[in-house]
Amino acid sequence: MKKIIFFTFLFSILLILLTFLNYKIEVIETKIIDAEIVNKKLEKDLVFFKSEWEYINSPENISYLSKKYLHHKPAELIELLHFIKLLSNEGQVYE
Amino acid sequence: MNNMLFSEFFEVNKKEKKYNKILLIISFLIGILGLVIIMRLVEVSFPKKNLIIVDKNVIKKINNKKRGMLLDRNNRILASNIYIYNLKAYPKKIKDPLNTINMLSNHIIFNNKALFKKIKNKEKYEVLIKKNITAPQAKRINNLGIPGVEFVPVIKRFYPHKEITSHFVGHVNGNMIGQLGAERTFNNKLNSGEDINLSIDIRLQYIVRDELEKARIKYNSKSATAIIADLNNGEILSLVSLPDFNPNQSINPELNSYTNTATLNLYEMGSTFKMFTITAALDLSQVNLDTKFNASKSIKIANYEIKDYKPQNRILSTKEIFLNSSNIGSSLIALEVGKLKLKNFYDKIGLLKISNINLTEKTKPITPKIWGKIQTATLSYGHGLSISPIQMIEASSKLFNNNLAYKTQIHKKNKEETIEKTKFLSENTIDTLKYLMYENTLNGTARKAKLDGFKIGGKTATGEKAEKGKYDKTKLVSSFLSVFPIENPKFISLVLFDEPSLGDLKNYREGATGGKTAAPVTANIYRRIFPILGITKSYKLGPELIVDNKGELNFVSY
Repeated sequence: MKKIIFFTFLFSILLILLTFLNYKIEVIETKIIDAEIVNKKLEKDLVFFKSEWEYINSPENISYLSKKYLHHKPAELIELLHFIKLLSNEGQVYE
Repeated sequence: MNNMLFSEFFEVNKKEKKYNKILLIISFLIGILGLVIIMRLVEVSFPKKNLIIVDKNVIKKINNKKRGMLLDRNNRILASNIYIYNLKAYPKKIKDPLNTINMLSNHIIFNNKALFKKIKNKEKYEVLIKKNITAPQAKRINNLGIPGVEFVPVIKRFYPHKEITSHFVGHVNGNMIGQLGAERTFNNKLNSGEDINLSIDIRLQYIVRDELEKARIKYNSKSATAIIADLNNGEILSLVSLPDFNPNQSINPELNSYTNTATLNLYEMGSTFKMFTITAALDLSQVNLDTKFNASKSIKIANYEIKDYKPQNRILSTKEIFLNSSNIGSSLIALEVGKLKLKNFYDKIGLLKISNINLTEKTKPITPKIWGKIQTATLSYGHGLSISPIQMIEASSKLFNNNLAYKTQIHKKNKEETIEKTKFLSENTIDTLKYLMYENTLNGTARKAKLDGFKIGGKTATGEKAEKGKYDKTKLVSSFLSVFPIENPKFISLVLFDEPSLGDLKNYREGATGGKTAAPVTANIYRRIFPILGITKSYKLGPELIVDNKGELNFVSY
């Protein structure tokens, strides 16, 4: 009889523990899913911002902006003579 | 008597104890059961936020929908996925349609009357108001809190460089399936979420397109093509096909702009073929640079007369034939080589087969059905065989990198990926070819491609287009194939214009030849891309001066 009571008690405790464990797992799972959702959202935002940055920073736009506001010409290697003139403070001479 | 009473008393006591025990067990079990039920109740009644709304399948779905990004060789985005929003109305939930329309019209443009009619109709479940609304715009409208109006997020493929990469990167359809270019080639990999680095450099691509588009307008040409490839590994650094299209907008595949002229259009290239003919003759030791050929008069084979664009009317050496681009001389060299050997050589370098580039849009070359004496002569200067510009790049690359196992790729190769070396030309042949190409930019037909301080080798070509069985002298295909730096070739490029014209002139003699159109455009491109590619200028003066003033200099790089 004592044995039955003991095992029933043990079984009940186990059941309670399992219930607790189950609950904890579900809480953690919820947190993981929450984190995954946030992660996905952030990933999407990151891709969006990267794409936006790529568009703004495209060679086409940079070239357009530098032409409009900085009056820059496309990058090219200068002649050595022009370089020497630059060094001797004779000013900007290359086309 | 007493004994009897005692025994009775003990028996009653025993029975009571037994009942008590049973009662205790039952109450204990009921107690435990109650506890378990309470525990369950607590668990159930505890709020499991988000679990009800989102389950794991939803997350999986989000993951599965992600298509990989296309990046350039320096990890710059060429194609990505962004969320855009479709605005929908639910007529049953809208109490005041007029007010709804008034509120929306302050933020987006649509046909007010038509929409009013639609949302007034309560029988309709939903009405699409506007597609492709950006996130900031959607946020502003959402903040108005209009009842019965909802945003539906949709994933859209975004191409930040628009037309610049259109044919190379391609595009997807509404179901995110690649339809053209790299999107089509790598469709499966991209749909499994993998990002792919393509071989192009967006900085070069922009410059090449910019210069080519300016020239296309200037020469009023039907289409224009430019390709730059790495000779060491077959990677395409830039591929431009004009006219092009914006893959972010709706696309009509019926339009000319949809065709990738670099891989789909077939042309009788013209004089660049002399490069192949002379290389074959040099390598087979049948001629050297000083071998003389009689180009004093045109040659007649059956009813076909072969003439020169600029007749020299004299005996020419192999070198002079190349520099003056003599059709007569080239034909004589080809006849010296022989039809079988020439055909084998053309076949070896891939001129008679479909391109091996890993793009799905490509066309088989149109090869002559009969290969006789006339064909041998005309094919020596690029008439009678139609190939695509990419095939010209592939065949020429094989000469300069001396490798037959060469494959042109649109993706960036792994460093571990080794290329099988199968040399097929003698070093002497390659050196002679390089010398001829370099001489051609100094004293030959490609003088307009000459850049001070840089050593470029190239061959111009001007082919006439055949229409109704006749060559039309007013419809030209002008191109320039070049290799740089010529001492140790690293890159190869081809610039081609389809039916260009110089001003009002539209005939072969005074018109838009490869030397007058494609060669100067190539020089313009090189001037801008050499700093990016790290091709340095060879100065006539020594570097002492630069070193002396080093402390005062600020170098800027971008």
